[in-house]
Amino acid sequence: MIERIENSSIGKKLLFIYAITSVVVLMLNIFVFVNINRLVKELDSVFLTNINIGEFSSSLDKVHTQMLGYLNTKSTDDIYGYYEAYQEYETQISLLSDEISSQSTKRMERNIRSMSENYLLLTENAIDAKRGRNIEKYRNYYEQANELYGYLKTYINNLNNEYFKNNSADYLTLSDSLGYVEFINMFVFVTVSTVSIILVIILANRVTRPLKSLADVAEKVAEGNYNVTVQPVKTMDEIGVLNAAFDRMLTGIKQGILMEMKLREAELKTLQAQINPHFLFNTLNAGAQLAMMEGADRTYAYVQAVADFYRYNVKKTDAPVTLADEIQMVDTYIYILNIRFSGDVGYEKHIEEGIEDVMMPTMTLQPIVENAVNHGIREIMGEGRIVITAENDGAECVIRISDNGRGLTKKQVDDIMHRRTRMKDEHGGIGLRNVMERLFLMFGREDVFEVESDGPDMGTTVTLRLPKDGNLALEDMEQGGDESIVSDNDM
Amino acid sequence: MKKEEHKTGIFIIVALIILAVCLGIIIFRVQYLLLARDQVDTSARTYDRYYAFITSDDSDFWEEVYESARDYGENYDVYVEKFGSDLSAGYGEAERIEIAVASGVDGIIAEGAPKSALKKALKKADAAGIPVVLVGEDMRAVPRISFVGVGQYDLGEMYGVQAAAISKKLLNSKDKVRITVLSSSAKPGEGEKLIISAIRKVISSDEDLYGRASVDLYPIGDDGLFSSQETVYDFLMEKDVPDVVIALTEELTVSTYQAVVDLNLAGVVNIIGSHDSDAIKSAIKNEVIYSSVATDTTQYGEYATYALEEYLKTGNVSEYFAVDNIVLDVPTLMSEDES
Repeated sequence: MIERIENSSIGKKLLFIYAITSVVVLMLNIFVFVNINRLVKELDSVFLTNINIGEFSSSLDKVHTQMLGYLNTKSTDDIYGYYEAYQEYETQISLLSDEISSQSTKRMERNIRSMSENYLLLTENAIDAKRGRNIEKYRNYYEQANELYGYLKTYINNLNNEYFKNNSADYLTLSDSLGYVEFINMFVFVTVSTVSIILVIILANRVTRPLKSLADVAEKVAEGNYNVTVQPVKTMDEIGVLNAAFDRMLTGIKQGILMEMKLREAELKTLQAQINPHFLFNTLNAGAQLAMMEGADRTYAYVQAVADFYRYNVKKTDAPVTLADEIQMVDTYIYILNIRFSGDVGYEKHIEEGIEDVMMPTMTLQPIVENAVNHGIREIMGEGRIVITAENDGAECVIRISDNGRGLTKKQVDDIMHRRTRMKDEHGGIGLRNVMERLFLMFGREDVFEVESDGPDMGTTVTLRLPKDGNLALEDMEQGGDESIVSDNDM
Repeated sequence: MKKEEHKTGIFIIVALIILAVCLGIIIFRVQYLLLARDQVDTSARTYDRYYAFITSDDSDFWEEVYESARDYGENYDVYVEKFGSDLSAGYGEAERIEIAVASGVDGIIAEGAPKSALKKALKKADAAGIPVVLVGEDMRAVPRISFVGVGQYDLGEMYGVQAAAISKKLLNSKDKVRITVLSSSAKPGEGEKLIISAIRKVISSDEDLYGRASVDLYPIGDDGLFSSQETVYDFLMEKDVPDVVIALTEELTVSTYQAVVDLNLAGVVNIIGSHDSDAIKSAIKNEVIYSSVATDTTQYGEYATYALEEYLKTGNVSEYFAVDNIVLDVPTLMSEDES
């Protein structure tokens, strides 16, 4: 039962507290009401005997008056009145005690009853004698009846006094009881109210204590102190649920922070790793300057081209660049290749004017060209040729990178288009798939990249359809990229 | 946490106990008070027969006789009531007998007195078939079944012996002694006449007192309210006060004793009283009252109830029950105290 209450909702708990105190107070009220009601009823009936005696005395008076009236006037009304009063009095006599009791009131009742019976007999005799016009007799009976009437009145008066005395004592007792009940009532009300208040405070504390503890923990967390522990709550009410949820949330935050710290650490390591390329292209720059100073112009141009290539590579790949930058990068790459491989790669570019500023992700064209060199033209017998065309096509800028290399089968084209190739190529480049994914992600559509080939030894063409109207994603990236560039330069 | 739960549990238990105790007190107290009222009725006892005890006054003497009669009746399922004594109207003895008759009592114990109203009332009782036992004084030509009282002549002799003893002492210092008997009625009844006769007989038969001690009667009477005490006072304020006063009733004894003290007559007037109330015993010890002749009130009351019981059971009863008397003086009271 207690466990059920413990696990019930706060609303139910409060309802339980209220119900318990209400039931106790209600029961108390009912009890006090019943007792007071009973006492009041007793009080009402205390002087009932006096009232009855009063009625009895009036009845006796009536008999006497009617008898006297009849004896005086012999009126029919009086005789009827007499019989009526006689009957009423007789009925009342029968209600009196006829016991010889040690109780004085009962003995008095008995005496009154006997005297009344004698009295009624005398009045009856007097009436009869009056009817018979026996004056002496009815006078005699009347005198006797009158004498008895006097005694009866005295007795009735005494009985009334006696009852009044007893009833007054009863009244005082009941009055005392009422006072006592009132006092106890007040005492119990105060006690029960105090107990109820304390009970409510204790139970309310039990309900709110975990909430307060939770609030303290939340406050500390808000201040940045995550090294806190949430006190476990046994109950399964809203606070229990909230507590458990907060605990889980805190654990999550702690894990997140840990992960972020690790990420930062990894980032730091990455930056540290980037020092080497920087060192490399700075060294190359120094080498280029040395070559220039020594007058070795070709060496200077070559070293400078290598240095440019690495500088471009070191740039954050998320930063967007212009088409002109990308073409420049391809030019540099082809130049380096041709120096390395003694002019094996034929290279043409046809760039329509006015589209040089079209923005695109960095390192887009160079990987495609690198792919064309490595997989397309390197192993062919004749001269390998790479052609780059860039032209306006309405809202788009269409860039095609074609080679006359080994070409691709239909399956290979499908594999590339469905991104079933590896992320990086075997030569450590960024890889075609990577380029595709970045383009899809940045432009939000898949028709931005297309690979075509008429079959083996028929060459390959990669077509890029870049929207000219700029792209919000790209602009955003540009801003982010600038920041990255700044940070790179800082290095 | 567990500790706190434990505390809360204890608190709740204590609170419930307090509540239970409070409710218990109320229930007990209210029920007790209500029951107390009803118990008054249940303690009452009922009786088989009902006797009326009616005397002319409420003196300690008759109170003692009544209590004895009542207590004796308790053993025979009889309730003896001091009839009409607590009625608001001050009814006389005859009227109260008439009320008792009209109330249909089973028997009447009444104090006899030579009064026609009383005779009439007693005749009514007889007519109603209610047996009457007379106490105190017997009455002639009255239909009573028995009389319970002291032997008046014997009582007179006891007074006489006491008066003779005082007179002899007084005659050592004076020539003549005057003995006055105070009677409660204006006209002495037969009993009082017998008492005086016996006193005179004792005095006259003593050689030492012959011709030197006189016995006279002073009827105080009981007609007016408080009249007896005033009359005794007036009597003792007279120039020639008696040497010995014999008071025949308890009331006269106390009135005489008080008047003697008030009028500074202690040692001048020697009192021989009646009855053995505490006030009288105290006065004897203080030697203001010389001696007192007391009647055995217990025996008196028992005889009265017994006479009615015997009559109602058997239809016959002894006509006369003599109650014993004793003389109380300083030596007897001292020995009583010692015992």
